[in-house]
Amino acid sequence: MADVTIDWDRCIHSGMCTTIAGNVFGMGPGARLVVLHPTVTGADLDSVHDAAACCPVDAIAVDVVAADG
Amino acid sequence: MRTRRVVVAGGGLAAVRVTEFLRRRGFDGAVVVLGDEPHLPYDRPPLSKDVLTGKSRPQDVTFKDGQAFADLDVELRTGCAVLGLDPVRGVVETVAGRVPYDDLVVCTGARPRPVPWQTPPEGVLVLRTVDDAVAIRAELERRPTVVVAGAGFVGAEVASSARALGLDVTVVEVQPTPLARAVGPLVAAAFVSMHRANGTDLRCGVAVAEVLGRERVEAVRLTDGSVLPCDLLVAGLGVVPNVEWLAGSGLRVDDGVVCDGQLCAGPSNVHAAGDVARWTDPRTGRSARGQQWMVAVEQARHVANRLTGGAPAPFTTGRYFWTHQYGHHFQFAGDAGAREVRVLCGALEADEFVVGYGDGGRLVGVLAKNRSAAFVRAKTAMDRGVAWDDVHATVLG
Repeated sequence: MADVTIDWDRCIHSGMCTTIAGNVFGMGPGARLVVLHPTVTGADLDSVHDAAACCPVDAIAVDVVAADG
Repeated sequence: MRTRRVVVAGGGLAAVRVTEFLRRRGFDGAVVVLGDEPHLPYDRPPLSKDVLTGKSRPQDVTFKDGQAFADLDVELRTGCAVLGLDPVRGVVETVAGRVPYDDLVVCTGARPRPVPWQTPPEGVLVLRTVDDAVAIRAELERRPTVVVAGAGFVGAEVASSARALGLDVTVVEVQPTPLARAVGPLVAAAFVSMHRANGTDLRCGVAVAEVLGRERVEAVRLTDGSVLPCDLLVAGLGVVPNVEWLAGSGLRVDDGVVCDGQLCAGPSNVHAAGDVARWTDPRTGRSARGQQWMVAVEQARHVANRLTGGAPAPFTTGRYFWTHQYGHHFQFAGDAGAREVRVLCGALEADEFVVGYGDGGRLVGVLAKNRSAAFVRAKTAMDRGVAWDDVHATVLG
């Protein structure tokens, strides 16, 4: 299990995270990128880690809070 | 017991991401990175922007510290340039001796195209490495008059940074418009007007013919005969891939390491990723090198998937890039070589716009200036295969 946060000062809205981890990141009201599910588990953890690695400005933090992956 | 040893030749973005993706996918063999520079691996995009303006220090752009590589159980060898490859024996020759591998990932990147002029020892610089950026930054602090040769992404961002420091800047671009291949000729005009609106003297259709000055650059003479006095000339004339070390290895080299659709470079245990890799994009049928930050990361991910038993499908890329010029944020994804181009919102001369590229009845490319949310909406619609005729409604939502 991990907590996912976005550093909004860094985020440039590349949209890579919504492409790679659409279960976790998406477009919210007001046409802004949002973290749909701030706590992720299971298969979503892999995609969230990939999204963090693909973020051009290193704006995604994935803090593992329990050792399930 | 460790079963396999992956050696990554090169120490840039693709190399670092390969190691991270490998560990993330549970690869528990040995991982060795052979970087030629003496520095910890670092991120290049900030070099032409915040490092030149002084907003970031050189040490701010490293991906992570040495301990983080150790924590990932990755052996990072800096100052370890590769010299040769013997794929039959599975050995990389380096300045520090021979390094055997079970799997090799070629990530040796590219270097600036050499300048085609006779140059004085001082005042003519290129930008690729952090040392290059530090050298240019030091020159900029002396308040020079600047000429930039080449109005590609690097040249444009150098010009933008120099203007942000209040310096006189002339950009010389041999093509009739800058970035025409990257964004299409129609949209390229918007970059021309942006340079000029921000006080950069952009001269298109001419090139630097001669660099004048004995000890230090004093002026450049252009192909149209005009002479521009300057104290600093930065050349952004593109890059050439670092493939010379592969001579005699049997790997196919043709302006890059030639890879198949899986990024395999011939022998089944040799792959390539990043600026050095040439592959045929199945969507366009064109052979190309990526030369973009995101393509390098996507390729690193694909190769890591391959090395851990995944990725049966050929490599594809979203062809995303971004650039920051004169305080404006541009993002692109897809294919700019499309038949139709439509301004979806804003205007090309304005501070905000979204442009769609259409082909075969589909949206195939998106470019946005300062319209990030609309960009993400359009890119998402494009990935879902939205029809060209429905683009307006989808993007403006």
